Amino acid sequence: MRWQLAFWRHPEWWSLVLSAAAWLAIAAAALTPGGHADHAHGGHEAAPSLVALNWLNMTSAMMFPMLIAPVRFVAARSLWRMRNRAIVLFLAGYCAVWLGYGVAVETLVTPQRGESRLFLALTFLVAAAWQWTPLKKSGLRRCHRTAPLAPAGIRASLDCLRYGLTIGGNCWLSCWALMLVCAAAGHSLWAMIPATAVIWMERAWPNQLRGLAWRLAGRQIELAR
Amino acid sequence: MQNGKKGIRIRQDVWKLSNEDPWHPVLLWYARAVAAMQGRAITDPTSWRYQAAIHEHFPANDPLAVSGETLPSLSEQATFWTQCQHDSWFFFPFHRAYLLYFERIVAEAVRQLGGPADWALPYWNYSDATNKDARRLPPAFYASTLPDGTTNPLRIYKQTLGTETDIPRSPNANKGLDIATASDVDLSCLLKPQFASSSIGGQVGFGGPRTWFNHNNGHAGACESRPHGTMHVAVGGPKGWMSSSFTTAGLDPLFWVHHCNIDRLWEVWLRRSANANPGEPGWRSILTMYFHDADGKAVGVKSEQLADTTAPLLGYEYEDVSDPFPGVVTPAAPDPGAVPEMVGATSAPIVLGASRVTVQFATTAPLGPAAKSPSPSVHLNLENITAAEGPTESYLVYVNLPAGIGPEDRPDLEAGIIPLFGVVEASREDRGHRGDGLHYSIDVTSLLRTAEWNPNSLQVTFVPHERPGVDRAGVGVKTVTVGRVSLYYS
Repeated sequence: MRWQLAFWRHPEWWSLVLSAAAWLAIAAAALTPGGHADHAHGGHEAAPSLVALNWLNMTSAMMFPMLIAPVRFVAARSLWRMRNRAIVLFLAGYCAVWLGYGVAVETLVTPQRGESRLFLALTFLVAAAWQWTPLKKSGLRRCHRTAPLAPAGIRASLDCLRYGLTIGGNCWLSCWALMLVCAAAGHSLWAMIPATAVIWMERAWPNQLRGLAWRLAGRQIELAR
Repeated sequence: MQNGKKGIRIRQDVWKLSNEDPWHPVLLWYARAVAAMQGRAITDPTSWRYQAAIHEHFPANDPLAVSGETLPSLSEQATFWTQCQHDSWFFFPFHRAYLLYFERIVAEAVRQLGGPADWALPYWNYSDATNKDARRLPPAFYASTLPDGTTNPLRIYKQTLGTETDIPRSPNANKGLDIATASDVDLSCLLKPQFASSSIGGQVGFGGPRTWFNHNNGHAGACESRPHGTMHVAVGGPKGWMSSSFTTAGLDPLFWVHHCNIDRLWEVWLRRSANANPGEPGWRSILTMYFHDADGKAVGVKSEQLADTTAPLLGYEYEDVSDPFPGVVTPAAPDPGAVPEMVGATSAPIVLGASRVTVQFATTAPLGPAAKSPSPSVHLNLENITAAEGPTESYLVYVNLPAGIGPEDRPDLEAGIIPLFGVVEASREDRGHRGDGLHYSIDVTSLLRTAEWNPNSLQVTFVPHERPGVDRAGVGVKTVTVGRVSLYYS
């Protein structure tokens, strides 16, 4: 009964379990000798399924913990029997945005990088510079924007999916550059951890973090080498 | 005035002061200090405009902005401006600290002008049932001149080009007439047994929902909604500084005496029954709020430092913190871990205009933990209320009002009010607003127990709130959209 109550209070619990599993998979890949999550490292093209898996893992690991508020929101705004379905549809819409971006990045950008450290450093600089732009701030502000959801029927499902796409789009606007860094670093655990810290902290202290972003960017370069 | 025994300042009832003398020294020195602060540059943290900008600053909405004027650095603005906490459990501590440092700045100006050393901000108890003038402005706030014949800065501001204009307010305000209804000043928020609300609505506390730093996103707490929000709009009318704009609210000297009363109500609430502030670190110590002291130096303060008004940092008490509901027992506090469950909602946005609007939607019995509760609370959620432009006005909300029956004939079916303070800004994506509008939760537990309610459906009626002297059509009140109306059990 206690467990049941905890699950009711925290409908986001299973999205956090998925996030933890994704972190474990990424850590296992990183700590396995010769194993790196990014098999496209060095300019080889990865299979589309592997690209999708890498991005799904990265999105689940880094972003699902940031979605506690909107996931609770879609659950709370839905009829009791439809809470989990609403969360699934929301996350599907959200992940679709990042998967689309991941495919574009892996197809158009990362194959060009070769072994160049300069490319990686460039993505860090782009990410640090993006932190200062009005568009970044706008995306960050809208990350937890809410929307009215229909209570029942196909309209309720479409609203949840659309809400996932909307929040995914806002999140992309806020974090595309940081995720580009992670992709350029070969989905490295050592790039993803500080990037996740930045994403978390900038939501808690949006005004104080822009200066810190530059310092973390420098630190990331060191860590990712 | 000081309490000699304790050596702390006493914040007094502005109407009692005014009845003693319309230009009681507390009010006269306030006016003089306001004029002195208005004469300071906006880059000075002790200036009138800087203090208003702490609430919110948006250059395009600043009626006193001068083209090309120097503003504080962006870094300073990020730390000190647009910081007000709304729809949050930081609403009370933030505004207490905001008032405290403003009061110190005014008191210092009073001292510099040769006034008393113990000046304290007065409060406006518009809910005082023993005062027939309670819902009117005290004369000092609408007199054209001070006793010496100079311009009264509590009514008139001087534009930068040298002309003088009335501070925009409700039409009745500067005539000394009633500006609000009994509904606007209702104090049922004091009967809330818990401080914190649910962040998604479906349960509302006295103080507001658990949040991080939150400028204006989410569900308003009970007191923030009424009388705080309702009196903002009542003072401002559809077009006034206090009515809908966070940017201009603090420019009206009435803002501060209004918020002084809200701060007093926090003390009244704490003295009722077993009411208490949140004990969680998330409320007590995580958020540091930044202001400037009377000497212009920056200070940081946390909620836990603001809980006791007689502590050395604050050093004040209120003249009257008596309970307006003596003998009325506060209901038992709900389980803080209760899970609100939505049992029905509208499917399409609702546009509110000048006429009464009724919506109806299907509801079901709860299936989750609320189903097991012997006495679940029931709340009406009014979600994602937006307006593309102002002016806007408030709406009364009725439950199961029969067709053809006027709201005035069934006041017992009035569930609450949506004041819409800040609705235009909350509908915009800038200055800390995420653009999804305002949200309110109204407790309808007792109402639905007594009202004619078929538990399979609910009817909600929005009635334009007619305040004395306000001609909605004449001022061109714009439409407001309610994203969704829903019913929650918890």
